[in-house]
Formats: sequence, structure tokens, C-alpha cells
Amino acid sequence: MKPSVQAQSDTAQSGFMAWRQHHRSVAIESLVRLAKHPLSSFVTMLVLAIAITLPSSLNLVVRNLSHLLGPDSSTLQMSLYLSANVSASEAQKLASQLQGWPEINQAVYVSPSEAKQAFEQREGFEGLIDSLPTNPLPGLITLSVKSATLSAEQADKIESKALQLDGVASVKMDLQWFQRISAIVVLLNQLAAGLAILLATGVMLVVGNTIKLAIDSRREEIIVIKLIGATNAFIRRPFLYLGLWLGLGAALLAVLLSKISECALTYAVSSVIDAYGANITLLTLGLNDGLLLLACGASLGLAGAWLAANHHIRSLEPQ
Amino acid sequence: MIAFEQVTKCYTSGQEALSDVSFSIKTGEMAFVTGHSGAGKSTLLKLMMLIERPTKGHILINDVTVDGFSHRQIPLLRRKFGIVHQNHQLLSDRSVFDNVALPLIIAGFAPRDVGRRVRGALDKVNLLGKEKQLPEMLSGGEQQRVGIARAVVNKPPFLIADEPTGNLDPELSAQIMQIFKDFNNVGVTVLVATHDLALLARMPHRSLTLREGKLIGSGLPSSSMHHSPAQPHDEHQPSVQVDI
Repeated sequence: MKPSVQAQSDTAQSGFMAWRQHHRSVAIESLVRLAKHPLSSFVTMLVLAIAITLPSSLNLVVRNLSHLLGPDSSTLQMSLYLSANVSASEAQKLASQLQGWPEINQAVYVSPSEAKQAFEQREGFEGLIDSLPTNPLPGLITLSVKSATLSAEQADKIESKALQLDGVASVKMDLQWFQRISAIVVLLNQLAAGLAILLATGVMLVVGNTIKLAIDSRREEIIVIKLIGATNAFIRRPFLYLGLWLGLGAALLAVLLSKISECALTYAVSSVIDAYGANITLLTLGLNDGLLLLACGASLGLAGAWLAANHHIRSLEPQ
Repeated sequence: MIAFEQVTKCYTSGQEALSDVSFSIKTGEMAFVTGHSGAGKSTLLKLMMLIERPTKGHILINDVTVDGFSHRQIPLLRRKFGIVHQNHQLLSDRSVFDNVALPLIIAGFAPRDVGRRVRGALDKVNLLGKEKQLPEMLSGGEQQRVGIARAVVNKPPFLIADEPTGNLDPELSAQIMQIFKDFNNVGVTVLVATHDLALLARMPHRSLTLREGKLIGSGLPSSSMHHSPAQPHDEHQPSVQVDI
């Protein structure tokens, strides 16, 4: 038995080697075919690249918007008004407890007398509180919230959590600005997602059409090798690689296009930022985003090629 | 073994290309299929390769009924056949070597075996020196020999030729036939479709004679087709079961 088992594993191994070898040669052959018609290959890739760049750029714009205009520790503040019976030391304790929450950047206790001072510093209010029998201002803890990517729901959660604390009478938070920005960001994100789905379909259709043309031009060859006993998978292989290279090439071009427009945009924006004297950095297309684009391009190319090749190769039969 | 059991083929146009045809060809046999053009020769070969499927009846290859094979099974069946076409069906943008190597690559042979076998096949048809040339640089006879090398390179048990000498002069035809005979001598079952009666007369092999889709004779050429292809008594034998 042993020699035959050995022979079997040898055959399996050489079969695998042959399969790998065929993949390699088909992959190279598909690249060479693309390179033989550089202009039309480039134009196809450019069309695909533009379709990939549009939603990815929009996504980057949205991310910048929410980064620049969204809440950060200086804009998102909450005021916790304490009950009148809370003593200064209890309030300090409460503040340090709040400081321990993961969402909270800073919790500062403002005593009634400090609040009175601050109030009286305002124009026209001097001496107003002194005319009253007692200081009506309650103790106050101001909270600055940590996360710049905080959502409206999270903010609500912090509010209700704070309300449950002993000694907290009410919570006030300026949410309107925050909610508006959130809504716009959500809307733009949905727009980007819709655009991405539409354009991804477009990419697959363009790749599919290119593959269909490639199959048409090799019609006779396909029929001949079907007669010799080629499986559909074997015939499909070079066209799948063609789709893969198209998608990958398009994604590379898309990264390049994004980087170029990013440079142009950064230059334009930086002059505005300088004029306002603000210290702002723009989010740019990072390594992970680039890799994600490449993966998307490659899989869209492959998927488009698979759909088209599957359909058109099956319909080509020797007569 | 190739066997047809009462096979009828009607095309969707309503034309009956074969009607109630039965025969069998033994393993290791060499036989011819003859008849005028339109008699059903091509249909017979197409049914064997499952390019077409029979309307009625069954086709057996090595005792396996193949007419119900799925699309996935068809490629494996076709690898059992080496086919030689009248118009060669070579890929014009690939070298002689690459053309002949095609069946091996499809069947997943290891690269080192491919080179050895391709050179072996080209040697058998005396084209060893031309492996790097493109098919169009060769003469008609040489192209046909490349086609034969491609048909036999993976050592299939069956060799099928459809009018292999159609475009060749008598001397080249005889050469091609000799090559088929050599393969038959080493055990390959050979079936040649031809209307070249002069060629048939010289070969001591059985021939299946078709006329308007019916099998009207099977036997040595001298006893059927050659002398009296349209004798009335032949028409009364629409179905001839042959078992040798």
C-alpha cells in the first residue's frame, strides 16, 4: 500500500503545484494584456478611480466637519445645580466623584459665593444680590465632557446619570448646537453611504462590461478550450485576474487622486485658518484608509468580473 | 467502448439529424463514419462529446451512460477524447508548444511533465523543431499535425477526427491516416469521420455509413459504401445493431 499512497500524495502535490503555477501565469498574462492597451486600460481605471474617490472624499469631508465643528471639551459643558442643603465639603466630594467618571474631563465646584461674585461682575448687576435677604444662587459643578466624538445619545445618558446623584437638583446643558451638528453629520454620512452604494454598483458594472468585451474578443479561444475539456472555473480565471487588476489599479489611482485634492484643499484651508489664528489640523487620508480603499477596489473589481464572466462564459458553448 | 443505443437527435428547428441509431465501437478499435454532407456525421460526433444531447436513446462511454451528465461533468468527459478538427482549431496567438500544452495545463499537469509530454507528442508527428513557431507560419499539413499532437498529448483513450484530411492532398492525407493507425496500434480507440471514399477503400477498417440521419451500413468499406452507396436494400435497414 505504501508506494501507492506515496504516489497519490505526489500527484496531489504536483497537482497543487500545477494549480499554483497556473494562477501565477494567468495573473501575469492578465497584467500583460492590460499593459498591451495602456491608454484604454488607463481610461477605464480612471473612470473607476473617480467613482471610488467621490464617496471616499465625501466621507473625509464629513469626518473633518465633525472633527472641526463637533463638540470638544471646550464646547460641550454641563452645569449641575446642587440642592441648597449640600455643604461645600459634600459638593467637593461630589466633584471629585464626577471627576472619576470616564466621560468627564474636568469637574469644578463653584460655591454659591463664587457664583455670586461671578454674577456681580457682569455689567448692571452689581449689588443686585446684596439687596436680597439671602444669596439665592445654588452651588454648581461645571463639567467638561471628554470625547470629541460624543453623540447626542451619550450626552443624554451622562445627564440622566448625573441627575441620579444625591444633591444634584438639576442639570443644564447647551445641546442645541451640538444636536444640529450631529444631525448634519448623520445626514452627510448617509449621503456618503448612498453615494458609495450607487458608485460601487457603477464600478462593478463598468468592470463587468470590460470583462464582457474581453470575453467577446477571446470567444473562439474559449470555445476551443471548452472542447478540450476546460472547466468554467479554468476559463474564468484570467478574467477574474483582469477584474482584480482593474479594481486594484483604480483604487491606487483613487488614493493618488485623493492625496492630490487633499494637498490642494489643505493649502486653501490653511490660509483661512491662519486668518482666524486658530490652531486646527485637518484629518487626512491615512494608511488604514488607503488600505481600505485598495481592498474595496480589489473586491469590487473581482466581484464585477465574477458576475460578468460567470454569465458570459456559461453562454459560450461549442456548436 | 463507445455505444449508441437507439439514439435520435432532433434540432429545435424540427430537423431530425439522427434517427434511431445504434452501434458500438470496441476499445482499441479503429472505425470510420461516412456519409454525404448533412447525413449526420457531425451530429454523431457532437453527441459523443456532449456538445449536443440526444432527443431519445442513450450514449455510453466505457459502460457509463453520459447523456445525462451535468455541466460540471462534461469537461472531465471531454478530457477522455482527443479531437482533431478539419480546420485545426489552433489558437493563432500562441506558439505550437503552447497550443499542444493546452490539454495538459487544463488537466493540471505539473510544469515539468508538460514540457516532456509536449515534446513527445510533437516528436510523434515530426514537428519537434517547430515548437516556437506560431500556427500560421506552418503549412496546412503541419497545422493538422499540430492539431493531432494536441489531441493525443494527454494520452486520451479515444481519438476522434472530423474530416481530418478535408483540406489536404492525397499524399498528406495518407500520412495523417498513418499517424492515426500508429496511435490505434498502441491501443487508442480511433473514430474518423470522412467522406473521402478513396481513402476508406484503402483502409481495412469498419465504417459506419450514415444517410439522412439513418445508419444504413456498417462493415468493411468494400461491402457497403464504396461500390453502391445508394442501393435500395440499404434503406430497409434503418437501425443496425453492431456488436463486434
